[in-house]
Amino acid sequence: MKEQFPTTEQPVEKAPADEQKKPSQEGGLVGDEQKRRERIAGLQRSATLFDEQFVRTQTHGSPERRLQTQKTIESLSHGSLLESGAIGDEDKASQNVVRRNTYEGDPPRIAYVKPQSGESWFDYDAQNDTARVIRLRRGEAGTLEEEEVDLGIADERQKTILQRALSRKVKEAHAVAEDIARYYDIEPSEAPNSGDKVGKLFGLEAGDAPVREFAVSRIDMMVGFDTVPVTVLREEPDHSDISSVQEAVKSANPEKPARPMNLKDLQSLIDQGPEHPGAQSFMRIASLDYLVKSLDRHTNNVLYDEEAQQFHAIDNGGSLGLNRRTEDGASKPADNYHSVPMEVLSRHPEWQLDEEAMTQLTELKDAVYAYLQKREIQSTGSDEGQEMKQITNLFRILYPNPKIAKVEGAQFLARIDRLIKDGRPPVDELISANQLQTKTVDKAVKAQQAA
Amino acid sequence: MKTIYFYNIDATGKEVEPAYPITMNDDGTIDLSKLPSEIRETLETLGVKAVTGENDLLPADGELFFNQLTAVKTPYMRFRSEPLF
Repeated sequence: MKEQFPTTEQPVEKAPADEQKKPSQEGGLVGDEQKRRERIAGLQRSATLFDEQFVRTQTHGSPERRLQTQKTIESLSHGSLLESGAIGDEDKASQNVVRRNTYEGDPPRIAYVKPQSGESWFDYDAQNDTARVIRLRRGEAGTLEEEEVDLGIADERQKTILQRALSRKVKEAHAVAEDIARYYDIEPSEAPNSGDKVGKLFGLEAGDAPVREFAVSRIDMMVGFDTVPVTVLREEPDHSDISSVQEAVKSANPEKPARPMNLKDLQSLIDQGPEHPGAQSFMRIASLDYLVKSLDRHTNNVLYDEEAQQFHAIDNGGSLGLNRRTEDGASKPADNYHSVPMEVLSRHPEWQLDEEAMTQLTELKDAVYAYLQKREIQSTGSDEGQEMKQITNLFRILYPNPKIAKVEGAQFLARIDRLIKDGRPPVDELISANQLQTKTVDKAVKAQQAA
Repeated sequence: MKTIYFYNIDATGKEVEPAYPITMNDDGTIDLSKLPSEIRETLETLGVKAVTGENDLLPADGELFFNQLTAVKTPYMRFRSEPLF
């Protein structure tokens, strides 16, 4: 499987390495900012090209549903902005920035927008062994400037504890970056978090969360799980920023809006397992989490629509991370899975993915394998193997380094294989390998017993 | 004493009254008693992710927990340092 995964299938907009060699086209922009904007332009073109092909070839769901999805993608990608408002404190330099926007469409679409500039990272000062939390902020002239996030901690003891934790985190990230380079046979400087700018997760490039949000939405569509709200990439006209734009989850009952799952929901799921009214969508999220290596699926990132008895997966920026190989040759993910839905499965060995989802996964796998086998013995037409080409292109957008794209694409297909074989994510295996903790479920059970 | 506010959101994603205050007392203790019970129980048991992303902060962590509530925003769970209405 791994050997069969191609690096390229059809033209994808050249990603950053080539983009960065172009002469400056933006007056007054130099160095890193020029490169950053060129990369944003490249990402946007790749995502637009991908979607133009993707929406035409989707077969999951009813024709009406597919048309609605197309219209939503069109509205979120190109619709005029009708209304925009901040989420939470607008002026405070928080660790993330989210806006609630309404875009022109029929009907207008409400969406949550997360810009690249809204992501925070740790900025390390090796000389003083200190780290600050930094994010980008749009200045008066429209340019993006670095700004320290005010953590608002007055207590000196707590400040010291946090400073030590940040410094420790940065050093660990640098060690993991060397392991990542070893795993993919790349230069250490090509690995995420190898410099002074370090993200919260070791195997993810800080600032790329919008791209991962987009990719997870398309993977959810490819496998037909229907758990992730439609998400697109949308750049600023001057390429100064790029955002993930995710349609807001609408409840069928306006009196009961979708909300983050709470402790009671979690305890009901632990008690009832596959008998829970929302079990089917919850299991689909657990399976998606396995496929996209979710690193941030805590309870606030799982919404529950009580009216439809359906769970939704939001905030997918912490996913699709890289692997590492330690000096002793052991391979493992750079970051462990973090998925409350997968944790819950560990309490219910009998819980299986529903038949429709299994059929959709199997169809995807069969289409990919049929194309790969046919391609080995003859050249194929340009209209064949769309599924394989889409997976290849998506991973090329996600990982500009072709070595990483090839390995991660092959491993994604291997996870689909495994999911089909077992009918559920291999949670027990991941727990045994210390790649999935069950701390959230353990806390919920403990609280239930205490009550 | 410091106060932040939690709001439910409506079907269009806008925050709606009433405001539910969370207070940090001068001795660093956190009062979640005014929150809707399902939010309070969830925060008391599961906490909120720390800035390093490595552990969960609980009300017993005092100021770190309190500040993290407004620092981390998700579209469907928001806290504000100033009352909205």
